[in-house]
This record gives sequence, C-alpha cells and structure tokens, in this order.
Amino acid sequence: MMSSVDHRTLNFVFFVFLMVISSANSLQRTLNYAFNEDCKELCKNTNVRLAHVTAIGPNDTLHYLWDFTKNPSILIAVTSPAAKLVIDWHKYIMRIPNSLNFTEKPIYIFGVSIERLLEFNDINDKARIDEATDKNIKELKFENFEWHYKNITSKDNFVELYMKASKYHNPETNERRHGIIKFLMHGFGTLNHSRITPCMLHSENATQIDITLENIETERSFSKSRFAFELLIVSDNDPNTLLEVNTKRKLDDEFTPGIFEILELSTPVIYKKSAYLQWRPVSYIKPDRDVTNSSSTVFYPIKNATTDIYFSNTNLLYMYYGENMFNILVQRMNISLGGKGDNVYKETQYATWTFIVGYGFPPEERFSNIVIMIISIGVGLPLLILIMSGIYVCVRRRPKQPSDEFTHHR
Amino acid sequence: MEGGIMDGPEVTLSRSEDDPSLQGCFSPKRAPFRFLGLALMCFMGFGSYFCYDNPGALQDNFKNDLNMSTKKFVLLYSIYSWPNVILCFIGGFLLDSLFGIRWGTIIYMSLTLFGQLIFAIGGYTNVFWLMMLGRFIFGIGAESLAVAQNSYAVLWFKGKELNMVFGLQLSFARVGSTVNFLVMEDIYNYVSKTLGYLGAECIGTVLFLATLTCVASMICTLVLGCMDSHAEKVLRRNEGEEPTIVRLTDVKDFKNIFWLVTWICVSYYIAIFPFVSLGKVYFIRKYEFEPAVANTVNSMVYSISAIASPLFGILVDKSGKNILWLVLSIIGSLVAHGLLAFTYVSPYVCMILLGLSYSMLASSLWPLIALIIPEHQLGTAYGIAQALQNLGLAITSIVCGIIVDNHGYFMLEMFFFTWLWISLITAIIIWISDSNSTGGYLNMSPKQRELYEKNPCLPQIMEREKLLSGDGSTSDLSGDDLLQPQSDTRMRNRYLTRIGAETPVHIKEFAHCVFPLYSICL
Repeated sequence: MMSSVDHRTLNFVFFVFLMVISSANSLQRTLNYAFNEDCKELCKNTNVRLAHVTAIGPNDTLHYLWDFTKNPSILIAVTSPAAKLVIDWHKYIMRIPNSLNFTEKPIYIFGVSIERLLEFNDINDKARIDEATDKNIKELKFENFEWHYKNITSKDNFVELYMKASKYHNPETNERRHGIIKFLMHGFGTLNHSRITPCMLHSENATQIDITLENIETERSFSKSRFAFELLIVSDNDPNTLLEVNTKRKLDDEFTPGIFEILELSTPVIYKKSAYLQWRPVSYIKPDRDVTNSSSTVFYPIKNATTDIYFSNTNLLYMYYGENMFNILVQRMNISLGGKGDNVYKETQYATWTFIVGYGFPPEERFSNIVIMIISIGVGLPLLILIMSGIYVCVRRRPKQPSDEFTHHR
Repeated sequence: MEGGIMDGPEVTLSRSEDDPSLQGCFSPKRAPFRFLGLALMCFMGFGSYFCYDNPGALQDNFKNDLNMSTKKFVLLYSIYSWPNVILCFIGGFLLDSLFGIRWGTIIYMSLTLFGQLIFAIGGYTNVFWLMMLGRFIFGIGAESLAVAQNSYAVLWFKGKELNMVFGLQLSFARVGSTVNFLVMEDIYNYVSKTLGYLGAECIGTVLFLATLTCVASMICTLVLGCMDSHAEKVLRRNEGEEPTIVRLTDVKDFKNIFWLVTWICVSYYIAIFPFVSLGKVYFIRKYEFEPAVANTVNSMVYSISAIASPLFGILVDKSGKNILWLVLSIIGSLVAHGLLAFTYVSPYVCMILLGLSYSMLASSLWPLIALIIPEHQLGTAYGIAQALQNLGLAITSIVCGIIVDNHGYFMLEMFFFTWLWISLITAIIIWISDSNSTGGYLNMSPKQRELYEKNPCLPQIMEREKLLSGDGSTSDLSGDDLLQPQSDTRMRNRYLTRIGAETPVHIKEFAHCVFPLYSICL
C-alpha cells in the first residue's frame, strides 16, 4: 500500500511539474503592422482606414485586416509564409468589390463585421431587443461618426490599435449626438490572457476587439435606452448550415471575476480547419472593470443573411468576397448590452463589449499555477502526513531485536 | 451521564443537603432556577443583536431619508467593529479584574442601551456624528456583553449543559438578527404611514422603538443579576476562597493550547462570515439564481445554525469529545467549500452541510476555552478570543473584497479553502498536544473528565485497573470501550496482562505523573 501511495504522489508531482513547464513553452508568432499599406498620397483626405497585421509563424502566416472605412470589420486569412496581400487602392477607395486579394489563395479565411449599432427602448425592462417594437429601435450608422486614428502600439508579439469614433451626425436628418465609441483592436503573438478585463484567454491565432460606448447621447423619445450590435459572420462553408452559439459554464472566474460563462461560436470544420468567435457575457458599466460594475450581455438566435439587404456592400468583407458572398455562409447575430434589472445605458452612460475572433479552436482554459499550488498542497499534505505516519507506525511496530524481552513469550 | 442535571456545582459540597434554602423548586440547585437563568441569558443578548442590524434592515430608508451615501452607511458598521478589535479584550479583562460578572454585565448592557439611544437621537435629528458616537458606544457595550454572556454561561453551566447553552446563545443571536430583518420594514411602514412621521424623524422614531428591545434586555440583565446574587449566597459560591487577583500579565501565562484554540476562532470563521457577506452575488453569478433565492440559500448557514446549534450542543454535552467534533466540523466545512468551488452540485446541499458544520463547530469550540482557562480568567480569555476574531474578520473582509474584484470568486473559495486547512491542521495539533500533555482531557467524555478532575493521572490508572483486575481477557470491555481509540498504554497493558508479564518500569507515559497507586497496582 505504501509504495502505491508513493507512486501516485510522484506522478502527481510530475504532472504539476509538466503543467508548469508546458505553460511557459508554446508556439509563437512574430507580428508586423501596417496602416493603409503602400497607399501613400492616394489615401490622404479619404476616409480609408485599413490596418493590416501579419502574424508570421513557422508554417503559415495569419493576416488580420481591421477596417474602419465603413463598418468596423475584421478579416482573418491564413496563408503560406510566402503569400502577400495585394490591394488595388483605386478600387478600394471607390468601394469596388474584389479590390483586395492575396498572391496565393488563402488556406482559410473568415470574416466578421459589425453591421449595425442599434439603440432600443427597453420599456418593459426585459433587456431584450427582440421584445422591442420597430418604433422603439433606432440605428446609428457607423459612417456617420467622425473617425480618428488615435494610437498604435506595435511590438514583435503584440499589436494594439486604438480607433475612436465621435460626433455622430446624420446628414439626412441632420441629427447630431455627442459621445464616443472606442475600438481597441489587439493582435497577439502568444497564448496568454488579455491585459484588458474580461482578460480572455487568446491563442497566437486570434485577434481581440474591445468596444466601449462612452457618453453617447441617447434618443430623446426613449426613456430606457440600451445598445445592441448586429454582427455579420462570413465563412467559406455551405450557405445552408446554421451556426450555433455554445454556452460553457466554468468553475473558474479567476481572470474574469464574477463571470462563469463563456460563449463560443465555431464554424463547421472543413479540411480540419475552422474559425471561432468567443466572448464572455459581460458588459462593464464603468471604466473600473470590476465585479460591482459588471452587467451582462444577451445574444439572440443566429439568422441567415444571404441577401444584401442584410449587409452593406461597401464593407471590407464585400470588398474581398464580392459576388461570392451570395454563395457562401453569411449569417447575422445580435448582441445586446446590459442584463435584466441592471441599469440601462441612459443611466450608466457607459457600456463595453469584448470579443475574440480566432483561427482554429478556442484554447482550453486551465487552472492558474497558484490554484494548482493550493490544490496540490491541499491534496499533497494529507498524503505526506499519511506516508509519514505510515512509516512511523511501521518503524515502531517492527519487532525489536532479540534483546526485546517480550518476544520470548510468543 | 452520572452527574445528572439535578446535581449542584461541586463548590456546594461543604453545605448540608437539608438546608431550607436549597429546598423547593426555586432552589438554585434545581433545574427550573437554572433554566430560567438560561432564558434570561439568551434574552440578555437579544437586544444587542436586534439593534446591531437595524441599519442593514433599513438600508434603503437610511439612504433616502437621511441622504446617506453608501460610503457613510458602511461607516456605521465599521465604527462598530474596528474599535472592538481591542476593546473586547479590555472589556473581558475588566470583567474579571474589576467589575465582576454581575456588575460587568449590567454596565455593558447599560452601555449598549445608552449607545442605541444616542444612535436613535442622532437619527431623529439627522446628525451623523451623533449616530457614529451612538454606534461606537453601542459597539463597546454589545461586544463586551457577549463576552460577559459567555462567562455567565460557564459560571452556571460548566460541567453540565454548557455546550448546549453556547449553542442556544448562538441561535438566539441569529434569531435576534433575523427578527430584526423581518419586522423593521413593517415597523418603518407603520411609523411612516400610520403615525405620519417623515424623513429623519421617521428613522429616529423607528430606532427609538427598536431601543425597546434593549430595554427588555436590560430588565433581563437586572433580574439575572439578582438571581445570580441569590445563588451565590445560597450555594456559598466563592465562600472562604481567597479572591484571586487578575492581572493583565496573566495573559502571558495562558496555556499554549488556548492560543491554538483562539487561532481556530480566527482562521475558521474567516471561511464563514466573509463568505456569507459575499455569498448572495456568488449564487447569482455562478448558479444564475434569482436574487431572492440567492438570499435564501445564502442565509441558510444562519437559519440552520439557529436550529442545529442547541441540538449539537446537547450532543456534545452528552458525548464530550470536543476535539473530535471540532475536526469533523472543519472537515465538513472543507467538503462544503470544496463542492462550492469545484462542482456545480446544488448550493442547497453545500450550504446545509456548511450550516451543520458551522453549528457543530460553535458548539464544540467555544466551550473548549472554559476547559482550558481557570474560571477567574475566563472573561479575559473570551475577550481575547473575540477580539482576535474581530481583528481577523475586519481584515479579511477587506481582503475578500479585493480578491473578488481582482481575482474572482474561485480564488476567494481558494482563500477560504486555505484558511480551513490551516484551522484543520491547528485542530489536529491541539488534539496531539492535548493527548500528550493531559492524556486527552479535551477529547474525553464527560464521565472521564469528571474522574480526571479528581486525579489528573487517572486515565492511566483506569486503564490499568480495569485490565489488571479482570482475568486479562478483552471480554470485560464493553462495546463502548472498544470503540474508543486505544492509547498506547492501553494496548501495551492489555498485551502484558494477557501474557502475564510484569509491566516494565520504564513506560514513559507514567514518568511525568506522581502516581500513588503505581506500586500497589504492580
């Protein structure tokens, strides 16, 4: 019995050791960043805003395209290391489809665009946009904001782009609103947790989008304004498949305090390749992103969006796919910010949403080293005590040497 | 149990049994007298527990009627708890050294009443500093009163139903706080709607009405004081005894084992009170409970303890073995927290287990102090334990908030887990060191304790006598005996009697005892 216990402890120690080693050693990519690459004079005085991040790995290269020309859009393309992005800037500025391509056909490609920003009047405090009547929903077009290229941090293993939209002005109705939308775009070179709460786990094949709606003036006739997004998801799959959001419940909320759920949307696997969208159902209502300032998000069933009434044919995705978008999987999904019973946007004047778009499968969350340490002390210490007392008892019970007077009487 | 409920304390041995004042059903020696005392002891604490949570029950009204910010509101609780990190100890010491238990209780109760009265005046006039002053005085009184309550319980019930009494006092504390939460809202509505008071005056009036519970407790205290004085005269308690002088420096002579017990008071409760204060949101977040349901689940620890504590107290009274129960209850809490952290098992199961463990712990842990520390220093001892517990809780409540905000509830569970481990290991150390130094006095059954008190070396004598007197076979051991853990001495002796050998003289367990029967037995 003693030896088996010993064996198990050894295994356990070895296991912990392995986990520590493996966490320090994972695949890396080197990142490069360019904004309106090679556009030069042509893009001056236009509203073209296209960021291009290349993440070079040992076997392939990932291209992240972050476009804010019309709707904020993301395109992830996986190519061979030799492939280059080619943009016909004349056509791109004119918003003519198929104006960008790669020198080699990408191995995999996946696109997500934020099609609409919607404001709805949550009169019944259900926090659901599908409960609101059309009269109580209003769209704010992204192109009616003034866009600013604020800041860029570009390192070998990390890229951060900060874009800001402000001063909403609708030329048709002459409606003006104050308030800003911040877009914090991240590209990663390693597997890690994001610095920005909800500190989601990302792989080296992923990009994170963090959106903050700050002090946006709400519609005057709405007493209980909340905001919602409509996402457009485009992938090279059969147009008749239906994507599904998968809800996972975790035990561990170490990195996103107070949030135990994680939501994932994965595209069907073709040739062992797929992509995903992942987020935590949390929206922060103050810049201090802690438990007390957290509210939830609500997502709605995914619907088909194969006809162009559902998407703008000026967005980045259409610029790449062109007519092809009518033949592949194009779906839309709504996400609204704020949960039932929580303060509405009109009161908080602040809301966030963070999501990750990645290639492959979402990385599996693990217990952190400190948790492993606590658990191993919790389990290991009693085992150790058991072994020690076992040895102690064995030593004491062992019959003494012949000089022991009691043994004669046996 | 041999020392039945009807027996008086041993100090009365000198007195002849047919003394007229000991006859009749209201004799201090008889149960009705003591149980009336018990009822008064419980109601004595009711007022302070009721009033302690007045602000909590009227949180929204406080904020609206008095225009109080959450920050200021929280201060009403902080001013109660922080000073008691030290004052509780001083209160306990003064109880032993200066006031004596009767006057001490009356003084602390008066402070409680006075403090609550000032608090109510502060509310009525909407003067915040007056409210703070009221809460401060109330805090000094109420916490020291709790220490005095413990000392009273020990004085009247030690060696009898002490564990049950501790359990009952605990459950009464819970009842006081629960009743407050149930009725304050209604009282507020009555005062504001029927009597037509508005704003600060309404809050003030409600608080004055709440003060009546303190008045009732004051009356109980006075009656109890009279009863105790009567009992002292009749039973001639302390008669002929030199009044022991209690000094602050006595503290350093307290046995190490007392400090270990205190350490459990600190480390164990960290995993209970701060958890309950943060638990509601945890259940909403992790299990997606509705707020009302989450509240019910969360308060289950207290509602269960209100019922279970006295029952477990009776169990510990009958069986003794405090340390065994202590260890079991810590293990139970570990399992409960483990289920909460690592599984999605229904929180009802976890909280019932936690509630039962917590009640068991309260019934077995606090009476330990009375078994370790001499009676004349008990006030000081309970004061220290409570003060250190307050300190631990005050610090960890802040730490817990930080952990939740920065690292989440899972890490918070890990934090509680760690503290429970620490208290489990401390309990085991107490077990080992107690069986080494006294042969396991703390873990004896009541019968064994009684024998032990007559002769501290008795466990060994008993075992040897039992074994050597019989024919040496195990047949004379009752089933109950066989169930008990067998000490080394016992195993060795049984072996020796079986083989008919003489006991070797060098058995070390006997070395530290002066053992009059030793030679005779051999």
